Amino acid sequence: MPNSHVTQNPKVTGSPNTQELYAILNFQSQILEKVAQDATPEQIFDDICRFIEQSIPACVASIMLFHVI
Amino acid sequence: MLFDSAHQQLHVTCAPSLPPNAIDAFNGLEPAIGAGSCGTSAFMGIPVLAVDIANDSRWDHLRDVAEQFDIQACWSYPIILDEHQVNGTIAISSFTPRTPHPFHIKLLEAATNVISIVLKRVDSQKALDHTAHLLNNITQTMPGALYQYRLTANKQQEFTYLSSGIKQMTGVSAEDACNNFGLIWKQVHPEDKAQLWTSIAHASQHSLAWSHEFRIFHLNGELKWLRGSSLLEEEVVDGKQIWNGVFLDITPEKASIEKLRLAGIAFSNTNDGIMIADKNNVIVDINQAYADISGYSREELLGQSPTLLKSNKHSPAFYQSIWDTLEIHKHWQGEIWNKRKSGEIVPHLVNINAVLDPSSQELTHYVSVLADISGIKASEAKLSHLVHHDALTNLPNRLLFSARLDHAITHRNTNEKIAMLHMDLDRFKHINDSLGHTYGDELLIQVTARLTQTLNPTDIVARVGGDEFAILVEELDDNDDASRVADNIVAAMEQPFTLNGHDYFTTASIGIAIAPDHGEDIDVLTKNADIALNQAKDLGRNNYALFQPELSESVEEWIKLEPQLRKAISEKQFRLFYQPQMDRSGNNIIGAEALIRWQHPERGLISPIHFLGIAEEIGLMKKIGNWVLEEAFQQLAIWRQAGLRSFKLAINLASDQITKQNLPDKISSLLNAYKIPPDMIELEILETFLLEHQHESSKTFTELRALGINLALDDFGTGYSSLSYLKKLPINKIEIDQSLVRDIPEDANDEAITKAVILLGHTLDLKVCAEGVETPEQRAFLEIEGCDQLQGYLFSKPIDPADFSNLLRQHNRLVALEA
Repeated sequence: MPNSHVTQNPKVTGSPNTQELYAILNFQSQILEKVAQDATPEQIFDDICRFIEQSIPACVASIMLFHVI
Repeated sequence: MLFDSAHQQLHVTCAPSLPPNAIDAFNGLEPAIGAGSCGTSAFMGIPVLAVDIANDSRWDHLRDVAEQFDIQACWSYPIILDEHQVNGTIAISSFTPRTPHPFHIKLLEAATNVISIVLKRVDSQKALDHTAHLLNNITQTMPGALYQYRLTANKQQEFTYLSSGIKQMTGVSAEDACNNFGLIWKQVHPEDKAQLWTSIAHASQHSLAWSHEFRIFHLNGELKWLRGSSLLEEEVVDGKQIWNGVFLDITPEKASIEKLRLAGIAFSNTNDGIMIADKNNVIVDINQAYADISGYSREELLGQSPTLLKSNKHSPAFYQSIWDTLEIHKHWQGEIWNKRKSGEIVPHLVNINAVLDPSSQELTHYVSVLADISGIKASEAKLSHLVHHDALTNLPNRLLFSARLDHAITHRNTNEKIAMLHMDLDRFKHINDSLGHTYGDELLIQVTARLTQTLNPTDIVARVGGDEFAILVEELDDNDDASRVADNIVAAMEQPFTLNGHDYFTTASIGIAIAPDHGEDIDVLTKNADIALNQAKDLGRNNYALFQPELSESVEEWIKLEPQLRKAISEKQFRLFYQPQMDRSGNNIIGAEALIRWQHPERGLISPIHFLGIAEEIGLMKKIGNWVLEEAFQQLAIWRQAGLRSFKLAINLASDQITKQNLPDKISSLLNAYKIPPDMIELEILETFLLEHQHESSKTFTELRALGINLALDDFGTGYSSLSYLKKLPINKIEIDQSLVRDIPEDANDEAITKAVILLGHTLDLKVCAEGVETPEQRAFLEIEGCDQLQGYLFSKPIDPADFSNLLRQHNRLVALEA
């Protein structure tokens, strides 16, 4: 499909600041900890969405999958 | 392109802040370019960052949904587990147009990573579950129990895994057994524990594959055989060994082996010969007994056909019938005469089974079980001989004779005749009684020897009773042939027999019946030979007689008269006839013998020889005899009144009259009733009666004599009387039997006997009367010899009372009173 007809993604440049990186690291740690604790996928996905929504004001997070778990 | 299925749909798996109707709107989203950020990202496998949805072509298909829920920006990242597979998307949506910061991008990337990890974990868990399920299914359906066993350095044992099959084998559940190894160990048979442990220790020490069979008790008490096999896992940590293996229940296998072992013992040790042949009837195995019975070694028989043992005693049809039976019934049993290696022909009892393949039902083998029944056959033959032969003479007995006679009659050629001779020894009873059974038996053996010498080897002689013999002579041309055989036998028997150093005489009487003339079955022929034997005895013994059909017929006819005979007395059908007895000159009547006749309403006058036998058999003789006495006394009274004097009326006595009543009382009352002087009555007793009842009847005769009655011995010369008792008996007269008188003067023997009897009588001071005098020559002879009285047709036949009255008148015996 020719790219000219499809809207392109904006270019996002630069890196998150240290605080943001810590937040991401913290996020990953928390989620992996859940995984290690044998939490169900549903609980983990819920935690991911809520963490994102808490981290970014005025947004909604969602996960869509082809296969129902 | 990463996404390859247009038909797959995305589902909202998690969206904690989206309202339900928004979730519904996005559910089932099919990936495509234009299907929003998530649909496009999933389709293309790349992040889609829509910063202003209103002007973004990637939302072309979903713009109304975006407007409905006021979504103005949406950043979506694909979730990719491996390089080729998009599993879904994660998205951040905003209600204002919005461009992501690097933080947002990193956050999304971090989220997709952890989601991937979670999804991989889910997949792994699924795969693990699937494997466990599969393993479980396999172990459930496998026979036996799979296990994992751990042995520590200090020999601690445990099952780290056991499949559920262990419960069926031991009654202990897999779970319990894994928790407590002792539960299984304590069920092992005490005698097998030490060996089991030794085998485990050995395998463990040398890291060898382990396999061992042992017994274990099921919790229900049943003893099972298990076979355990296991292999050591390669890694040994801290001296711990992990063994993976299986336990199998081999109880049925052990039972089969035991059965086979026993069958093998039976096969080797049975006394019956067992031979196994393949479907082509080639011998594949035999046991020792078969070798012994057949005389061939195993090596000589293997590969051979059982026809090696064939004798020529059976027809090909016989063998064919065996095959036919095997074909249909798969089994045959019977006796076969086989030939041993030595050439000896022996009887075998044989059981043959056709063996079929259990699944295909096709013939695979024949199994023959064979028993040598020579011994049984010999015993059978011996028994048969005992059953069919007389132990004393070893001659065939009546049973075998009847069978031979039957066979001879059945297989007789049309023109051929068969004779059955029934022989009876005339004086056997006398010899047996006087010398004892030992000499009686000896006599029978000598008689047998003479018979055998006299007869042809093809003739069959049998002992059919105490002193009775039967002889079967086949292939006769005419009846005279049979007579000649009988004549030879009679002649052979006339010679004396030496018993205990002395000579004894016995003679034979023989009755002959010929097939087909006198009957064509054994019963008729036997009966007729018997009748002929009686005829021969009537002829005076030491003789033979050919059966005369007309006599037999009359006998049978007369037997029908029995009920009529019973009525004859009450119906007053009996008559007394009188035959005069003359003095020595033959000119003067000195007495008469009263003789009974039966005046049958339909058949006319019947002679006593035709009915007295029947009367005796049916117990009528006492009644008839007493009627005769009464009638005779009555008639004598009439004649006395008519002037008869010096006259003796002879009346025959029947045995039952003497033995079954008080005869002297009877006679005494008759004498009184009819006023008859006792010396006018002469009672005749048969010589044969005296032979049998000498002792018990002597008192009767003495009493009769005391009454003044005369006693005469009738039919003298036929009964082989002992002279000693003649002397003791209170008799006055003997009557010479007519059979002796009949052949005078032709038969010198009879003449001599008659002379001797007369002389004897006179020596004992007895009167002698000759019966049956028919010719002047006989009369002359008897006169010369001094016989006191004569009786017979020469003077008068028996006549009725009226005629006798006339006769008396002619002789001037009744004149006096009539004048």
